[in-house]
Amino acid sequence: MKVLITGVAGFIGSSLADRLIMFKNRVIGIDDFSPTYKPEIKRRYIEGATKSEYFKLYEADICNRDAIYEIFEQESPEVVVHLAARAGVRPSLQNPEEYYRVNIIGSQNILDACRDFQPSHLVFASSSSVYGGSKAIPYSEVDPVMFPISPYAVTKRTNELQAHVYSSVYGVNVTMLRFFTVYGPRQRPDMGIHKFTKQILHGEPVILFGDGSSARDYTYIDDILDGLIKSIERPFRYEIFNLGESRTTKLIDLIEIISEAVGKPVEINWQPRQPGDVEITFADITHARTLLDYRPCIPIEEGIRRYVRWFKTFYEIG
Amino acid sequence: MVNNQEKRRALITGITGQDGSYLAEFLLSKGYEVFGIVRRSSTETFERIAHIQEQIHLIQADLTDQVSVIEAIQVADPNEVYNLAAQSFVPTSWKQPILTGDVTALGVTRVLEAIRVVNPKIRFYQASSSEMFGKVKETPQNENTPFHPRSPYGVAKVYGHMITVNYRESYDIFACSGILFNHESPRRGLEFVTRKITHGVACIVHGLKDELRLGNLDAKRDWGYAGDYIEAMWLMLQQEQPDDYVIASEETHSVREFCEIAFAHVGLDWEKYVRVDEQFYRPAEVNLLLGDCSKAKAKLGWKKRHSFEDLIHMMVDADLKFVERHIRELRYKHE
Repeated sequence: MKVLITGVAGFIGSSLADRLIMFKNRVIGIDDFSPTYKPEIKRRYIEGATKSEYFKLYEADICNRDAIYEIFEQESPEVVVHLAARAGVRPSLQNPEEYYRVNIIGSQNILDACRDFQPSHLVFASSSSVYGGSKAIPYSEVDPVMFPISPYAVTKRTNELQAHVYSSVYGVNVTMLRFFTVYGPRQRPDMGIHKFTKQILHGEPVILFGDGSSARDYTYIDDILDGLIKSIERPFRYEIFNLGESRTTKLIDLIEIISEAVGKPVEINWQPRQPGDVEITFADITHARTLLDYRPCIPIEEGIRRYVRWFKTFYEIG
Repeated sequence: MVNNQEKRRALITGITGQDGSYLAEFLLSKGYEVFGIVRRSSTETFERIAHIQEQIHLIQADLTDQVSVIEAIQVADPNEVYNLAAQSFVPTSWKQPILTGDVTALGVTRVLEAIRVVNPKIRFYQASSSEMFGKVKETPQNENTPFHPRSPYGVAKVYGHMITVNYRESYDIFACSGILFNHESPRRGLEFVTRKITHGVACIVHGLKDELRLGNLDAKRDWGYAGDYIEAMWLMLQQEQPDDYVIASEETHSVREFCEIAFAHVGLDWEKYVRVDEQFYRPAEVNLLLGDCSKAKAKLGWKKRHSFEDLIHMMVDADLKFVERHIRELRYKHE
């Protein structure tokens, strides 16, 4: 199968590319290597993939409509996995315009290309942040999601609506995946687990925003890949699926788990709660289990152990 | 240690699986006290045994952990042990061959060892598989057909089969191996091709999708109904002498035929919906698997009760309800 991945040099994109290549699928990757974090790190993530004859990389920006159309024309992908986006809740408050431009207008280009070049379906990254500050847990795909609390969440909910239009009007098959706090090797360096691991490894105090009671449904990358690959294999007309572990961990407990995996004690530097942060995320995954056969299986303790092992190797910390 | 109560006791490994759940129901109906082994794992699902959970006893143990298996057998103190646990999905066995060997092959030895040390009078059933024939040496296959497995799963199952024979011959344990050809049911996991088709048909009927992607449509299997095959397992352990038996439908059908019947059952033309995807092809396909179960018919008096069409209709009907119920629950939540 020939799969086109946007955002292929990112955390989830590069992991998915590696997995697909391993099973001899052709992967067409698109990435603009934007400096949201060090482009050299992104290059290292796809170093393995670029050595494979099954992989082809295009350096392009999804906002560049002509470039995107050229790639679709050239490659005629069978399935498109659209992961490229400006990510992160807090930075979206600093620069909403950039988020709207890339995530909404850029994604529109991908939707247009899917309408015009007709891959069998589009798998599209959404986010648990669309649930906003809702306390009605666990979150279900049929919950009304009308009260986002960050520009990032606005862009992801907008993506779901944009995609619904193209599914119902043009028959583009779309599977939207609402990822719940994905972590694991290659995680973005601006994410909590990365920072905590680094601080604990170096014996620095951990900066913790809020009182530590906020809880997340942390989802290990391998479980997300399971959901992504099943979405690639099973096209639907238009479905939204939560991809979480359906288990929550409090921030303070997470830090304890990391400290245990690292084998060092932790000192906490308490800071006030940040705007845009939600209190809890918790996925109801019945829908994905029933229709996709999604079966997450990596508990947080195991996932963190694997992550810390990777972290030490990648950043060469003995 | 030997149990003299009139109520017989059975221990099932893999009780949460398709076969385990049917076997548990069957043994309960025969008046057994039923024990099951479950792994302590977040993936463990109890959907298939939820309706009988009050009537059975679950023990935590793992086939990769010898001590836990011994303890489970001590606790259950069974007359019969049915070893159905395995890493049983062929494609996964390519991705995780070592794990497959540890669970599916060495796991059998761990159960046999536990029986040997705890109570060698326990009767043992090993779930062997037609995947052991793989690149078939003759057609149809019977108990004397040489094995040539074509996947890490098949290889592990050959080990499990041979060690069962070996413990029977070396320690005089009443150990039987049932070489079951493919057996399906509405309780099949969604990853298996039969269920993938019937679930896909149900999603199409309910308007959720318009395309079903499948691998090799020409792949042929000898498919039967799991509910029918369970009885054969039990019959094997009720004989005078332990032995090995092939259990099969003695018919072979292609994935294509399965699709035709499944789609026709809801009045659809399969060719409009099915799309072939080479990604699903196995690295090494097995050849024509077709079982000859004349020995089981003659000695056990076993025969299948459901036809190929019966099986598919049953699975499609169940999936139509399954998907409909799911959609209804979602809408209900929404209101």
